[in-house]
Amino acid sequence: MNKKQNEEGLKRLVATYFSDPAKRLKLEKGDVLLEEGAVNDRLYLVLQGSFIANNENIEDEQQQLFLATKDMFIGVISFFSRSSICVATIVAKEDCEVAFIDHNQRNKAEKEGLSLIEQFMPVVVFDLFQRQQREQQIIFEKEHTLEKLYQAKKLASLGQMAAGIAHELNNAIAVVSRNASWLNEHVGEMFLQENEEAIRFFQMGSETGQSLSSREIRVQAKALQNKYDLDEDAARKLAEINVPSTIKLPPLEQLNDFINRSHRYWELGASFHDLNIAAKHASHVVGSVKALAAGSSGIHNGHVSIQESIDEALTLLSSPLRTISVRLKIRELPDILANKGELVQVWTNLIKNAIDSLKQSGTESPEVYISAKPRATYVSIRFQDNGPGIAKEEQGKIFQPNFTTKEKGLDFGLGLGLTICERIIGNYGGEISVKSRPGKTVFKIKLPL
Amino acid sequence: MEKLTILCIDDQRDVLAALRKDLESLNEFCRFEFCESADEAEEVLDELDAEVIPLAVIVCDHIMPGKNGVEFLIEFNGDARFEHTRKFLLTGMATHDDTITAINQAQINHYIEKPWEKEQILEVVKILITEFVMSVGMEYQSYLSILHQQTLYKYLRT
Repeated sequence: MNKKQNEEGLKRLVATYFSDPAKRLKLEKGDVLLEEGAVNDRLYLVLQGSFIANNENIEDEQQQLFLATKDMFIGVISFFSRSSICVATIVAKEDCEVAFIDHNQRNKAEKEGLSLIEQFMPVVVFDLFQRQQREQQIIFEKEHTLEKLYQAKKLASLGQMAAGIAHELNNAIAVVSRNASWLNEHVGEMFLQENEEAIRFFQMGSETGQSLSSREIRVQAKALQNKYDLDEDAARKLAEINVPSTIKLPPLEQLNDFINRSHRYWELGASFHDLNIAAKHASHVVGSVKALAAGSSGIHNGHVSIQESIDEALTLLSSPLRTISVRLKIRELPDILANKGELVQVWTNLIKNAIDSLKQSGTESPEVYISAKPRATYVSIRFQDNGPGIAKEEQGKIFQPNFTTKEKGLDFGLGLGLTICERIIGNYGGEISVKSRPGKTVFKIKLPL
Repeated sequence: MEKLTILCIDDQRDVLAALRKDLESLNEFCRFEFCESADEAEEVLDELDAEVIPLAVIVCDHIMPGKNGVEFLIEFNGDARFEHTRKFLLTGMATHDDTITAINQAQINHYIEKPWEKEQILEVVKILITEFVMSVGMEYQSYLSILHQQTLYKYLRT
């Protein structure tokens, strides 16, 4: 029986059996129509309003059995089972009107020989079916809610654990990073004071670290080896330092000594450089995980320059960005009230995603394009890359926790990066959105002024 | 004495620099190649082969963009040109499955998790150099000062 047939069947029944004005009741909100355990010999049809059916479950708690709205029957079980005992208490949820028949109801069948039950059965069965369907829907929704709650709890406990680890790690990282800076400053002063050459190479190392790739060094070393007749090791060292052409190399007989000496100074500086970058990277990773603990800190501790926060993110990622061209177009922007650390974290996550996508796909002439401009009431910031993009069916899921495409673990791939971004931006009353097709993926952030 | 080559692969330049510093005491007997990707390492392998330079040890990171360390080592394991080269996986994060694959399919000779200690990595590299020298049948006396004594003894006894 389909819905339409049922409606017609119901209409016939209403016209035949539920149109007697003497057999109608009006109820006010809270009125009890039937009481669980009481005797009932009527079948009610809801004409207007709605009722809640409650009964006591096995633990003596009230549980909602079903909801009866317009055109649904009440008292079906007690009326048709002939036990005449109500299985539920029926309470009006609002002002209601019902019509009823009772066991003395005369058969008014149009067709000869059709019993009262036979006339009611199709409609009542459909009615029960609808109740069951509604129950299913409620169960489904409950499960869905539970699942969401479970996810949230999982994130929260992960966050709490992370906060604990972060605290411990941050102390260690602080010691590493502060001592690296301190040593960097004082080693230069103490040991290299009266040696201009030493301090120059030391500073070159500490400022930029090793700026050439291993491939560039190999090529350079071969060229230098031929040019100066150096041994392989010395040629590699000279290539690593990447001596600017302004520095004059000593004559050949002193060259090997010079290289070994300057490379030591350079390496000393470069070690501090690497140490600092690594400590920054570690504290950033800790910060990312920690941000989950209570979502955003919500501390808007000052006026933050967006330009500066983007620059900081780029510095953090300078190492993986070496092989990627970065284009910046940031117009004069007003400062916004925010927590700078959080903003840096958002930018870092977005840029890191772009880098991973570009590298993993081996995109030719990889590029990240960052632009920002002020609008009347907000600042608009875009992060664009020319990677393979995000599959259509995945675009809706990328902000969900635990969703990651970084299965090979290139990053730590917890699938939390964008969840964190969305949370932080959301806490500032902003928005983050994505548009992606192969060759052009754009994350757009709006932050209110 | 011919210098033995040690090839180090890691996508992070600072990790390579740290390796370089920890292994520099081997400089007198070894030459180093540093690569930032598996692809680059393959080019270097071709060069080494072309110039008939003995490759004693590969120290390889696991998680890298492009081809990862285990994939690279599996391919390398099937490369007849370097059948005696020792393989050493240096990893920041490997699942149980990764490790099993690395042992079974890439037949790695050693495995260390980051962060490493200088003494530890030097000892492992020395063991692997010794194994290489002895299995190729090179004149081991000239490398004596960087060979791992116990490992050498094992070879000499048999």
